[in-house]
Amino acid sequence: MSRSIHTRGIAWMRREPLAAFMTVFLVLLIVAAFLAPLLAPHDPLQQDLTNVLAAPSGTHWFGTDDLGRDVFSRMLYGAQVSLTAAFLAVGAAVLLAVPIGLVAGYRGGRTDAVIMRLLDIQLALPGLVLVIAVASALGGGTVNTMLALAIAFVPGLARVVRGETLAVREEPYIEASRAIGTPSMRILRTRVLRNVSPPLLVQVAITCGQAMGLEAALSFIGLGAQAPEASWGSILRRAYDSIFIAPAAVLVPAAFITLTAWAFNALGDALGNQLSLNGRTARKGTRALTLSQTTGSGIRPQSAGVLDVSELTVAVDTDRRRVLVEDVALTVGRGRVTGIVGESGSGKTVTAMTLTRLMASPPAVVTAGSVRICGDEILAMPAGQLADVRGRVVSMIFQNPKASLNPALTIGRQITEVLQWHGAMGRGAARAEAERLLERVGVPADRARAYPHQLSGGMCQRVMVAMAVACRPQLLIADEPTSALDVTVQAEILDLLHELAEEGMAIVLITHDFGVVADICDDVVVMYAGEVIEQGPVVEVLDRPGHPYTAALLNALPARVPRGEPLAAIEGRVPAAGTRIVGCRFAERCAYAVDACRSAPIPLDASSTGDRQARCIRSDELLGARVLEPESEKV
Amino acid sequence: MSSADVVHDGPLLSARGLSISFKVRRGPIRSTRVHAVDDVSIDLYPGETFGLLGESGSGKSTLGRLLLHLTKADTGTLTFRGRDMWAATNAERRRMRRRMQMVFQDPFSSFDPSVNLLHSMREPLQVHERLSRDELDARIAEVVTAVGLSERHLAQFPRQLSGGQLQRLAIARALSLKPDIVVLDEPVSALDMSTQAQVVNLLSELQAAQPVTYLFISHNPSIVHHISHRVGVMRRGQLVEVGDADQVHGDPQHPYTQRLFASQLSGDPKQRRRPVSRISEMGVEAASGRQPT
Repeated sequence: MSRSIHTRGIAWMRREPLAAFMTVFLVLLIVAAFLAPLLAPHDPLQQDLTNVLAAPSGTHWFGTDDLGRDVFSRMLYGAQVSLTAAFLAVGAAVLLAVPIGLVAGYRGGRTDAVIMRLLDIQLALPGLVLVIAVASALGGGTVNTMLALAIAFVPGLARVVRGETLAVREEPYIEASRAIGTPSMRILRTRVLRNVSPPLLVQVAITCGQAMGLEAALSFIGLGAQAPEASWGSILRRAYDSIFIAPAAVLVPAAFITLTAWAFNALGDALGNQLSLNGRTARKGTRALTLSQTTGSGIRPQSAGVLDVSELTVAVDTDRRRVLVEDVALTVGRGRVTGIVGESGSGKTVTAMTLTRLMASPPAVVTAGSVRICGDEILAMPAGQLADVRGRVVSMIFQNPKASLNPALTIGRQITEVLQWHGAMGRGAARAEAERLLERVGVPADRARAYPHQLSGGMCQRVMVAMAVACRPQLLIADEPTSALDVTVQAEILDLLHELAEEGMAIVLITHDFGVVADICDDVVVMYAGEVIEQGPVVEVLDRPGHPYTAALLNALPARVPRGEPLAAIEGRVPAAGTRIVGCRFAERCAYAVDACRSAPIPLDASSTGDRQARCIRSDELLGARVLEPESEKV
Repeated sequence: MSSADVVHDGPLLSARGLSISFKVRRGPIRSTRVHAVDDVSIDLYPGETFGLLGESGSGKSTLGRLLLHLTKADTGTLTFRGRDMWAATNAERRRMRRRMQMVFQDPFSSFDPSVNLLHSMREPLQVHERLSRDELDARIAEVVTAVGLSERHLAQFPRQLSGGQLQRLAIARALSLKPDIVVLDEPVSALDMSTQAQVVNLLSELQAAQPVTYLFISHNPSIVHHISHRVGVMRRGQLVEVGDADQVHGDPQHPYTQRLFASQLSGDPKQRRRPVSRISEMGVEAASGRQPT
């Protein structure tokens, strides 16, 4: 929004120089054609039989034709004819195709089937033959040629409109309009048409290119522009007639026809690229995230944890002051489940992805800190060793299990591959082990031959867990593993994770749901705007939260608030990732904030009660006054 | 006053034996019929919140659409204020239509991305009422203020607001026609925790200010229990249990409802859920909860 059209234009020229050049060419061509009477040095019909088929010269830039007429002037006037013909043909085609496509796509069913089959019949006929037949039937001339072209273009354009309409029709905002009671015609006009136009525009640009070519072809065979009016096609025809006398003369119209058709195509491609770029984030790197600098913290505390994270800070590579995650420290021991909980924008997923260096870099870069898994520093590990550690020592499961599985392979095969790769097992042994693993996570072994699409979301997540634990890793990182699942299935997956922890696996569970934390976690790390704002044993933190944010989130849980009473709502929104805030990041939304909260960074201090740490200067005071306690505990 | 405005005792919306099935392809030739909604009868009373609880594929969203007549049922009857909706003329149906509105799960795709929000917010009033531009914008300002936003937000495009703000606007859009019934299809599932609470509270406040019936569709037992007066539980297209919210929550009768509420997360580490396998093996009563270590 903030960038001007000027700077965006320059950025576009850099990105797509060919398209930019072609666009400039097209604009110049259209202006020149429009201003032909002013620009043309000669009358295009002025014959000079003393100077026929002259080579290009100062007076006749493109030479003269077989009647001694100036080719440059004729090309300028011809451009007017050719472009007008192309634009009118495409315009007429759009006027016909848009309603056809909209109705077919929006109504669907039988209407769609009938319309599409009729268009199919037309598409089955060779385009040029059809145009010639129609143009001949109507008699030659520019207008009739345009009509013939328009009819030829309708099926292609209508198909694009229909396809886009089918997609737009399924959008919730269309259903919202229907629910409002908006009549179909109005929905088509104000909602659907607007949203199918961008892809239609791409198709229109490309069709204009085709129209230039086809119009030239028709004029060439004498169906298009009739003398004395000349289009590029008829100029080409005249030059062709004299090809044995002046062979070079065909080059001028041929070159312009080709270049213009090419320019329209390049413009269409560029528009298409622009559309598919919209809504997509900036460049993403493929390098694995590494530590950009070592921190001089000297001696690290020795810990028995499976996972030891200290001072972890992740920033944006182009602007290191934009910190995504700051100074995260946590330790997860054998058989322990630690929940990292936060809302969107809290940095919980960045933290999780950094633990296994799965964050794309750029844009993310670790500016400080250490991540040790079983004592090995992950952030400084060579790529080869990292690949070995992933899956064998640490593995991950994600929110959307179906998207995380390969749709083309059976689930048994996918687990077998992991075992063969990391476990160095033979095929037969791996297969037997895969079946044992599936049974272990509650999937019948005979489902090993099933493909992911044949299984429910819950079953797929079980398969993901089976793959993740195939090589008996020490640590499992689960990123929102149950958020996409139904309540009963969620309970089953949580039970499975709990059993794995009981068998000794360390688990980091990323979630936005305190209910999940309360259900299976031993420890909890609460994150807000890239910082840990509270951490400690689950029972302690959830019973007596030491930070107003934790307290508010807990009081926002319907299960913890008596029915009919309002939930604790936190007004405002999470600051955008990377926003610099002095002092407490939650102060803006906090009911207990005082001036001191905003003046200096707040340390993550041990609270006077127990093992828990909170990043709040009023923590002890608020806990003493019992203002942060959950509603249900106060009774 | 039109017939749709006549005050009618008893249920506002009443459905009897609603069924709809869809053809699902199982291969190039084979196809089976799936009964998305199977013989459902339901009554919605003025001013109540009816929570429709069910898991994915249970048919709860389809039922919501059938009740609003956005999808036509194969069989069954549907009466709104005692008037048969299917026998109604088109004009009558349009008048009924404005009395029933809907809010969807994903606030980002509930608004046309290509126009600003004011344009989308005007739509219901433009379609159903003849108002001047000034009257129109005054009415919109009123509902937008009621959901805690300002006209400043309306000049923006959907992608510029947060999910919570957009969902408030979606609610404002639905309420701008002062409907009798609003079907809320998973209205808070896509929102963050703190925002979820904002929206749930807002719905209660708005209902207190303007008598409106909510059909609150959700897969989340705790939220449904929290917000609803009555709760219906759907499974495989059938309404397996209907009752007072506390009664269904505290003393579920149907085995499926029992399993659903037993799977619900308590939010309290000292009162953990019992493992599912143990629930099915031993029955709900006998199982004991896990204790945190």
